[in-house]
Amino acid sequence: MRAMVTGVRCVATLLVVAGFSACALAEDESAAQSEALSSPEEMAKTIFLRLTGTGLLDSDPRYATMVQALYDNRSGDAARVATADPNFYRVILRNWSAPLSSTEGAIDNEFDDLQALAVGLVRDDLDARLLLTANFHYEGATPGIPAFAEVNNNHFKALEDRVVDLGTALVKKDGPALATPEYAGALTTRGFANAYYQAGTNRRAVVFAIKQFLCTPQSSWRDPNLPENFVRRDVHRDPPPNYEAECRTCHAPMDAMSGAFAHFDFEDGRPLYFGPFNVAPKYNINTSVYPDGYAPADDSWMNYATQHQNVALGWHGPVRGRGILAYGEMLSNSDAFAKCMVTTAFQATCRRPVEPEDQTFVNQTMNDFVAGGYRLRTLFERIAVSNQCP
Amino acid sequence: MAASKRPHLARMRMRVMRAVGSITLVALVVVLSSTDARAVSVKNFRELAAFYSAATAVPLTEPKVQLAYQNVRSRLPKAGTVDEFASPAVLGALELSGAFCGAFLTAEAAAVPEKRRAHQTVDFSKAPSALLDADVLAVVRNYARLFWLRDLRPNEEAQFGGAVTKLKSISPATAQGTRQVFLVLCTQVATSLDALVNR
Repeated sequence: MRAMVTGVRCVATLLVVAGFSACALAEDESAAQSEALSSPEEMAKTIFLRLTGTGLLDSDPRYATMVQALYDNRSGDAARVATADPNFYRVILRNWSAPLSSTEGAIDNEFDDLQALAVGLVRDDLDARLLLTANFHYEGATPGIPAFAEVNNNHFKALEDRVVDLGTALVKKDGPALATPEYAGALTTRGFANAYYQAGTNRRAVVFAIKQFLCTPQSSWRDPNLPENFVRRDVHRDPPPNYEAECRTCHAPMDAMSGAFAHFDFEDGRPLYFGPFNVAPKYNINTSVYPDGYAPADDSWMNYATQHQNVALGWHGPVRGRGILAYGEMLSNSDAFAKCMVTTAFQATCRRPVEPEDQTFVNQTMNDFVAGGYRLRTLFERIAVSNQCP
Repeated sequence: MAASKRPHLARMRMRVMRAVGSITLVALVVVLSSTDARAVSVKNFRELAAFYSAATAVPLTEPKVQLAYQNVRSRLPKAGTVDEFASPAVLGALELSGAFCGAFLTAEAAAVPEKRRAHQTVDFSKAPSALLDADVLAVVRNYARLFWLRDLRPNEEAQFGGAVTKLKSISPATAQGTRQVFLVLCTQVATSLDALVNR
């Protein structure tokens, strides 16, 4: 009985304290919103919190370094201190990269070689376009973990389970992650193959390459009245009104671009390569559905999503070609790619989606990003030091 | 402490934790109903673990922490949206913060006072009755700096003052009781809104 009474008292006491904390937070929120980043001391802690998700104590030597850099008007240097912290990689970049190899966009997606490429490119402040064009990949250099292999993800899972510092553990290795003569950054990783080549007809690869790297869902780029010369034989044309109004709007541009992935498949946990002369069998299945349809014989592709609303995607350079690298180059040189990098970095750093009032900042940041060589780490740092986040 | 008293303390702590979890959830709803919920995010599983690790200097690889994290990870918010913060998430945060705070206290007790992060004035070998309220409040101020990233406000100090007095009076009169006092306070600060909401 006595224990129950004291237990209830304890509960009651802490209820008051917990509730009080809530009221204090509400007051603090309104005060914070009306207060821009002011002193260098305040800015240093805010920048560090944005880029790592953790606090920075006054006693931490990095605090003094950041404060001095801010007093000297070197905000980039201050932010660079924060992006050297392990939590920039473990928290911010994992949140940012995890959805890339998941059809559901899952933020708790297991770490894999696609995400390692993304994280490595940021760490080394390299050109973001290498995400879709690189002829190298990243692996961990941690002793005692399973070796990198394209038949499983054990290597990268072990890196995550060991809680390694991705900022130092990843090493750059020549050649694509997949053991193929063709390369195109993330498009030739096991993570991408597992998510987007597995089963199906490789149309998913087109849909998600554009969704994940141009931040543009298929519902936005489908277009009626496009040429249907690339629509494959496994697509019903009956009933014609339904085909014209619905099926063709997606299949015309999608099938035309899917040729870029014609040499690739993923089955039983391992990537498959059919190049340089053969096309993956999945491209020519169910051919009796519409025998007069397109019969892919090579990796040629055409981008028909260039008109009407798709002009806004901002294509530059060739919109037709052969092979996965040319396709990756086309995607990565689009305005939509640059904007997607800025938007997703903004969300990861500011912990909120881009709002209409952010558009001017996003557009200016995008211009600077492109003019400055698409440098990813610099992008995250620039966003963190701005007044745009709160 | 007699073994027969441990189950009682564990049950009491669980009752306290459940109650704290419920009021935190209610408080979150009350606070966010008056603000733009889209602009507010809560720490997701990854952020919360890293935040607690940085605050306490307890690595994520510490065995009890790692076990707790594996247990609660699926319950914690993924995307960090407010609507993910239901009862299971609150209780998950409580369990995780409990593991971190427990390891934190062990490390602090083993360190010389001048090297500690929060408990410079605490003699962990003494019973709660030997602790000065001012010393306990000094620890709570340090908890606020570590988990809330700000100083305690005067009115919060007053509220904590009352809680400290009560906690000391109901905790066992042993060194374990002292640890219990700080475990409850640490966990409370670590799972309050200031710690859980992104700013």
